[in-house]
Amino acid sequence: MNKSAMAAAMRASISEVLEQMFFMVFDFCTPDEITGSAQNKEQTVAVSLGFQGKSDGTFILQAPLNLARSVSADFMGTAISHIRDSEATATLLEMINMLAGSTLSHYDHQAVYNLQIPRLMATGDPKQMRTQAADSITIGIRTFENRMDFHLVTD
Amino acid sequence: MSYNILVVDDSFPMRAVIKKIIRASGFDIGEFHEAGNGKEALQVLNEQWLDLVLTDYNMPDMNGLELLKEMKRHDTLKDIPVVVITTEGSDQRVADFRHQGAAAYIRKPFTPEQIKSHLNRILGEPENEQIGNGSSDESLDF
Repeated sequence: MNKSAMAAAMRASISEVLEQMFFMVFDFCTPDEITGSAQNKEQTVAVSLGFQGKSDGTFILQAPLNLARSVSADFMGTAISHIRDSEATATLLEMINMLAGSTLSHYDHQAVYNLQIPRLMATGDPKQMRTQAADSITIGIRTFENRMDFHLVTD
Repeated sequence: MSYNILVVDDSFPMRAVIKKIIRASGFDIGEFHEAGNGKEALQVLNEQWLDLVLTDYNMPDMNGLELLKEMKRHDTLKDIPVVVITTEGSDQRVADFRHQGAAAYIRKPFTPEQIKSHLNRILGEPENEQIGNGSSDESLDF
């Protein structure tokens, strides 16, 4: 895997998906700026999506639950007070689904990748996966209210 | 004329968004039906009269391509137009959808105008529309 090309594909997909489907205003954080949601007191949600193809790996998306609820409210066009935690999680699962597909299309639109079903991760799993991975890429996404992190870990 | 539409996606928020877009497109909707995967969709198809199916590809139990193949095997279902809305964007996958007889393919992320454009072609122009027409390189008519 060409790491710089993949990082560029991840950024392109983030811009495309977050702006077009979720109407989010954001900018990218450099790795040094990423403090990580886990270091805050806020409850965080992490979702993952594995893929197989020319290369294998797993995408991970981490966000504070409050940000996930806000994103879900905007996505579904409802008041945030109507958003249950399960709906916020479901929105993140759909977000990682789009980010993963879009990233792989930007990286190589001719290659066929088999995407797994996105799933909710247990607390601690994201850090463990990144620690154990052969290689990883992290893109920080900063919003007005908070930040979320989009990772790719490769086997 | 009112249309009965089936939206197939394992994501509840995505089903809600697609329904909202179709309603805002001005089409006279009779009934919306939903399913979380291809197997559930087939149950609905066997019980309800439907004018259009919009389906995701990557779903548990039965994916969108398998659903499409199964529909084409049945005389009562094979003529119902199927629009595939998916993150899968490889040339091979798009060719698979076309080969199996999908009416259109739309890649996620999509704009409301892309959905409306395909529905206009498949169902005809609605009388009351809130979304304008648009086109994009990331959707195809088959």
